[in-house]
Amino acid sequence: MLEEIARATGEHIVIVAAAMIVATAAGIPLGILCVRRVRLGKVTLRIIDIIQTIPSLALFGFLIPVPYIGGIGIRTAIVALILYSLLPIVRNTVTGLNGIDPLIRDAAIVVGMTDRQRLMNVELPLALPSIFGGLRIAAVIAIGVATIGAAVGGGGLGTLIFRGVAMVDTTRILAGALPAAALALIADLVFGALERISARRFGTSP
Amino acid sequence: MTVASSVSIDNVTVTTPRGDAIVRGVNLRIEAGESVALIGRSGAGKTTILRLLNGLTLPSTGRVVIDDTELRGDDLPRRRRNIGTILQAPALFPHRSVYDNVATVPRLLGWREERTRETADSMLARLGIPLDRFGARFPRSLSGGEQQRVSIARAMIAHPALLLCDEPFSALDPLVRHDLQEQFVTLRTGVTMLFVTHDLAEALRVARRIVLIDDGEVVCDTTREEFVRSTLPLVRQFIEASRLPEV
Repeated sequence: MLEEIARATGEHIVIVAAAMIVATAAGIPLGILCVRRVRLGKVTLRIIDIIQTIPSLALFGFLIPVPYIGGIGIRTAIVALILYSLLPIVRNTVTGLNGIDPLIRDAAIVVGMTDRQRLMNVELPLALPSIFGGLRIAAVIAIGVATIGAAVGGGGLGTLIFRGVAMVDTTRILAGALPAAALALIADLVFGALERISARRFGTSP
Repeated sequence: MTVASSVSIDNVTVTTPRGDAIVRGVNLRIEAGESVALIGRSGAGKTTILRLLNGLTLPSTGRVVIDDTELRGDDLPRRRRNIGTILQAPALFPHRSVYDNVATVPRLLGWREERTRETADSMLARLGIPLDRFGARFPRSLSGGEQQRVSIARAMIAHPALLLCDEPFSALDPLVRHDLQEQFVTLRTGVTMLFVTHDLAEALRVARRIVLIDDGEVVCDTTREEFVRSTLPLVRQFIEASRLPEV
């Protein structure tokens, strides 16, 4: 049993981590784009807003018939988690970038930084606390939704929960539910700490 | 080794997207090495004129020329490294130490680190915030006056040929302000300067030529000696307003 929990937990972490890496790699640039191209940004935010409103079980359902990214298995689970994680990451990147004091923005321009230098040296570092806030929310959501991914053969801790429910075996349900809850708490603590540390380091905390 | 820019604003109009004119047909020529104070009430268009000179605002019509080359286009970031701007608030980069803030322009220009450090050291010492005590500190731990000193050092460290100051001392208490004005005048030697202020006493202290702006137009453009003798109503108002009351 313990071995099974360990394996399911490991699988869960891998699924969530894979989804988070892709969602971060896509979400931060998308957020930057939303700030630079306001009209395109509104459309983008709208679309990922709509994705977020789709109930998770339904989203897994929608993905099953989709070729290449869908089907039964871990790939579908990861794709769904990426879609869910996108919104908080993009939105918090936008909030962080838009929240920068206009005078600081001007200062970065007048010292003679290029667009790219401003982004890398001033704007992104100052948006970092907000971006970490987005990652925190995304990770917590992803860990929760990943348990439901077991319904489409996604693996992870959800497998234990679903099997426990089918067998009316409370111990088995808890064997899946408790580690999942613990993972969510840990993610919340870690990213929350990064959020606070970056806010203090970059002088944007109140 | 001071190099100074010459500046020319030719018949420039700046219009907001809604169509209101903030600057109307302004002509202003500043010779190399001249110090000019731009005064006027709030909303007169002073700051907009200053922002024309570092490309933060682009003219709707007319041209801005610095050293015989029009200020526009892709070249702006590189040209700004030769223009020092001191903004209204210190606007230091909050995530960078005092030294890293001051070293911003030298690093963009690709100076050797030793040269940057030496120049920062002598400049900060003259501004009363020695590098060895303040260099590693972060902006938020400094007082308003100290922050504005760092901001002056950041703008002036690479010996810009043109210095733009947008009411840099208006948020400071009168004693710190006076102190900084004096240090500022000794630091600024030979370089072309445009200094925006609504404080006539400050204008007379830092510049030899005074340009009065009202409603987006140049109302009066003369030496400071002529200015205080002018009979223009708006000039008299400024002079009256900066007089101490009789007690």
